Amino acid sequence: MPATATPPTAAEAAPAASPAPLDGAPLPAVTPAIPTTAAAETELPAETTADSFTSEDTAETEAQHRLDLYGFADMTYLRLLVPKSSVWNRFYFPTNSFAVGNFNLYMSSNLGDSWRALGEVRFMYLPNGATTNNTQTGDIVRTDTTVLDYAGFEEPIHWGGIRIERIWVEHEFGSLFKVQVGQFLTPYGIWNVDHGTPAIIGIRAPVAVADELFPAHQTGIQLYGSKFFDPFEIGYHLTLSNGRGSVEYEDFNDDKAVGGRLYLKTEAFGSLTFGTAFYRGGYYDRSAKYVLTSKDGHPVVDQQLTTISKYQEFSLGADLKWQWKHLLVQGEAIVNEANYSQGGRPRAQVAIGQQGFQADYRRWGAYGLVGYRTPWVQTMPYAMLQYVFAPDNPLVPPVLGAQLGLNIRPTPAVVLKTEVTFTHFGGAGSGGLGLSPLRVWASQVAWAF
Amino acid sequence: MALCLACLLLLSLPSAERVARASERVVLAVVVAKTSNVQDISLSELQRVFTNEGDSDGAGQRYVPFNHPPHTTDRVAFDKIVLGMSADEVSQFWIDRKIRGLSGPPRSVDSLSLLLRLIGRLPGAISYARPAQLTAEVRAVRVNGKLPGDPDYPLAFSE
Repeated sequence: MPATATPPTAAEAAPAASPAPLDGAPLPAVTPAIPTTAAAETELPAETTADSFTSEDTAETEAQHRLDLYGFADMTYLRLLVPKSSVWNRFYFPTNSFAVGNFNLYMSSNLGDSWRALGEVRFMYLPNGATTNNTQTGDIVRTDTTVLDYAGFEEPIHWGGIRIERIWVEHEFGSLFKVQVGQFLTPYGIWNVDHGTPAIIGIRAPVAVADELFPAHQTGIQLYGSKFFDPFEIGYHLTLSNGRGSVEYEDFNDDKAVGGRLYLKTEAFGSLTFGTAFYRGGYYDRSAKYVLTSKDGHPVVDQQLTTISKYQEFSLGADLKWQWKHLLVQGEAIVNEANYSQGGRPRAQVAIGQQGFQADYRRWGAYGLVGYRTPWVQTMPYAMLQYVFAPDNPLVPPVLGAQLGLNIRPTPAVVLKTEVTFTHFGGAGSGGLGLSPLRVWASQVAWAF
Repeated sequence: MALCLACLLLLSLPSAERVARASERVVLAVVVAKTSNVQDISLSELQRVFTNEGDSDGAGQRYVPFNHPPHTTDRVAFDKIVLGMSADEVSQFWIDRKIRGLSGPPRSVDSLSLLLRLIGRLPGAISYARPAQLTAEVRAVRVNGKLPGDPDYPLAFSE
């Protein structure tokens, strides 16, 4: 099966090769179009289907499934606007650095008969440079993946990692019933699904999203669909998955997670979407060690399991997105609570003071964003206000953040962003970090390819 | 020489007629197969069809939209009237949508004759063309209850 690399908007952005415009109008100097193919010159096959035909395909390829390769990447420069004495200069990273953050590759294919597959992987420099800390000694250990390159003169190189963002196959029974199986992005809110840096407005996700009050990904089954009642669309998502866990491909118990989203969308006054989402699932992490037991006098190798953390959680979210001409208003509010099982409480993450066990917790966060796309190089000034409150986590004081920025789209595939973040903490927190206000300036180039 | 002659002829026309010829009013017919059950479609339905929302017609047949190549006059006008987007905004729309993991844009067909043959033969196929370009295999449907040529037909623009 041949793979054809096609940019995300091949139909929108590829150079023209067609000699004959449809309407007889002269083509502009740069005229995107699909390349002229043999199909355009030949008779249509008697059994033509939507899946078997594209203007790019030749008659011989009608039984083959095209693989679309596309993706996005970004590079960010971030600088702290705090005094040299601020502890944030030692905590916040990477600062004063050019950092390629995302390099995500999508692989999409229509498999025919209403089957579709999508995979998205992120190429990372990690784990090189990642740090772990020893809570006993306070030592911070940096991961070093340096190896000698056997393909050259054994010069030192760093290897990186690949993260599977999503991989699923989908069958569409109709617009009301589509089933997706695999790993998918949790269908809640706006930011988690927008996901890619060219598609999102700001540089950094709101804390409520980045902290995963809903899990960002799930592995399992998703049923979704929508129905249009002019001018309203009502849609739903239902998920059954392993839920949040320490291993993507293994659920350590039978407690499956369920979730869903219900939304109402209309284009009657701009594009307005209102949605609600929920998630309920269990988290269970454990350690294991080999032990020798005996059965009928025979020694037997077994594993002894020790619970590290076990809890039930419930999340609720609501979101609103309104686009009216060039105005964008969006916001999300999320609450998440967790109740630990007997014997399932881990040690609390407390930097200073007595370290007890983690309490049950409820945390919530919300953000609102307003932006206006001006005609001047498609520049959108935007402002975002966010608040996160986690009263049961002693390390994290209430966070009030404001972001002011510009999102510039000189071409549809390239986005330039610059933003300043002001963060105010409503307390010191048990680590004392809340005593120092945090101000960050970041600039980013994100591009789709 | 021919150019000079054309200029002279144009200048000899009454001024109102010159303006009329400079910005000729064009309508786009929304076309389906002659055998299709679709008689009428609203502008909002048309918008959903051409943003690949996966809608079906009244008989349960899924719409299969086909587009003109980007940046052609009729495509630009159609996108502006139906989707409310400029060419760049359309590109941006599909990039963002594919990053979200949703399906891509409707397929574009370079050749008008091929496009009309597709519409005529492929169940659910739907596209648009100027009324004078329609063939015997396809027919125009009403948009918001109006046919091309009716007053206030929504898919009209000045060329």
